[in-house]
Amino acid sequence: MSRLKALRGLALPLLLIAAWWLAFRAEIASTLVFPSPARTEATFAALLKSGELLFNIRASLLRVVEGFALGASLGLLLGILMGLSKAFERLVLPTFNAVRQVPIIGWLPMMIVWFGIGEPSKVIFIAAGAFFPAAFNTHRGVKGVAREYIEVAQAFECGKLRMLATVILPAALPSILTGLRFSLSTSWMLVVAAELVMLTAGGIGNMMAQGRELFQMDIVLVGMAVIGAVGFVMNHAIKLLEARLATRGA
Amino acid sequence: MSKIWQATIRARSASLSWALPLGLLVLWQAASALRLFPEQLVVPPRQIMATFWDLAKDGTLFANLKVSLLRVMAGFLIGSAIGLALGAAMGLSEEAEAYLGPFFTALRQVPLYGWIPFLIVLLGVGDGFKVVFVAIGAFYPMAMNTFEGVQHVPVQYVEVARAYGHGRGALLRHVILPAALPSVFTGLRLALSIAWMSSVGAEVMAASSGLGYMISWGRQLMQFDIVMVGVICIGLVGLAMNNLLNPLEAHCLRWRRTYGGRQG
Repeated sequence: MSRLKALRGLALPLLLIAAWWLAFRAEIASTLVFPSPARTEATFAALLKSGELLFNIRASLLRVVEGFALGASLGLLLGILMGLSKAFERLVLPTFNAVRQVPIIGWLPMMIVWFGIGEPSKVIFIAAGAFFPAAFNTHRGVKGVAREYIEVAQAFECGKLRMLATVILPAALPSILTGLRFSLSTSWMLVVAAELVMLTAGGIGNMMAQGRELFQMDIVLVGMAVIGAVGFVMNHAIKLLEARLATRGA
Repeated sequence: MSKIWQATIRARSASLSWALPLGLLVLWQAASALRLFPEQLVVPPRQIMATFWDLAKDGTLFANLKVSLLRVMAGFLIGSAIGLALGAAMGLSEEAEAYLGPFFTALRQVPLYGWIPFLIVLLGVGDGFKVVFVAIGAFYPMAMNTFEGVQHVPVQYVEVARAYGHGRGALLRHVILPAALPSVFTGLRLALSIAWMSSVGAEVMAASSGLGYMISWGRQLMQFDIVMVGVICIGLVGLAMNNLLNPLEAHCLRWRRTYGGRQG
């Protein structure tokens, strides 16, 4: 039954590829705008073989890792502080919520003014994107820790730092991981945006932007497939981590 | 007595929440007065107010705002309508889910901005591209949340309705739709905010009008005050859109007894 279901899932993509191929054979679609499926595959193979694809993936991943590490750790810190201290929450939360209203892409022109179009600008842009989901979900997670846990820990005269490490953070972990997953996928989306706008030093977005300028749709399509695949792998890696930590906690 | 106490606490918490923005404003004013940074990079707050006023008076701001809002509305309506239909179809029919689900999931892996080069080659840089891009952004959260909402309608509800002899139409209208509605609203809310984000994004990348274009243009002229005014307006519109849905949601979900957390 489930195998049959999987087969049905293949119907639509196959149909689309058939339509694509037919449109190409019947010369309905302009080959300039739409390359044939075979050509796209060949482009993929060529980009892979020349090392260009891997070079670009590496450049994008490096930026994401840097931006994510910076943004998510700051977000984690802010979220914990806002969750633990009522006074700090009152001081920061309204401003945090106000700033959160601006879509990250709206900050891009400002980042370019401040930091130029080099590497720092891209990394800071990605960090800004990673920051908000991490802070938001960590704050929620820490606030949501059951009061009983804390009372028990207090009854056992557990120190503040120890309480944070052994009670609060483990209890808030599912929410924190959700935040980190959002942070990572936002980072991955924004690296593409940053590379589309700031055309320097490689990256998948850069490769796609060049493909677009040269009207090489095959390169654009390869780029879309690759960013989709990498995004999928990253998302699932964190989901696996979440599942493993959840079973360990139980 | 306790009322006075509560009011004091509330006043104190309100004053605390103003402390940070006001402190930042003072720092900003001080930095620009002391010329710690080039004036082009850190524009004095007063200059931003003046620019805001100028842009509002000569109509630039409203013209761009109008264009952005029209794009968002068009893209949001198209994208969320298709998302609603697809999500409902996949939630109601196992057959539809088997055929469409895997393809939908695969396509969803492409980060939103990854669509931009593809759409520009296909549609050019005109309004068509922007509306389609916004529609794609609004489509996914709507489809996902509608699907989950319909799928998670408790089976007991459906069984009871069947036991009372309700037909398919009545079942859909009186049981499934209301039960899935909270989730649909979550989708609607997300779809609207992502639509706004994508509209600004498309305008930053390729446009000749709209708020996103205005900030790009301000950057190219090195007029940082224009950029700031644009960013603030974009944030305010985002906030307004989020609040716009509150009364509608409260009205549609008024039967829900647990509802009310949102006002608190």
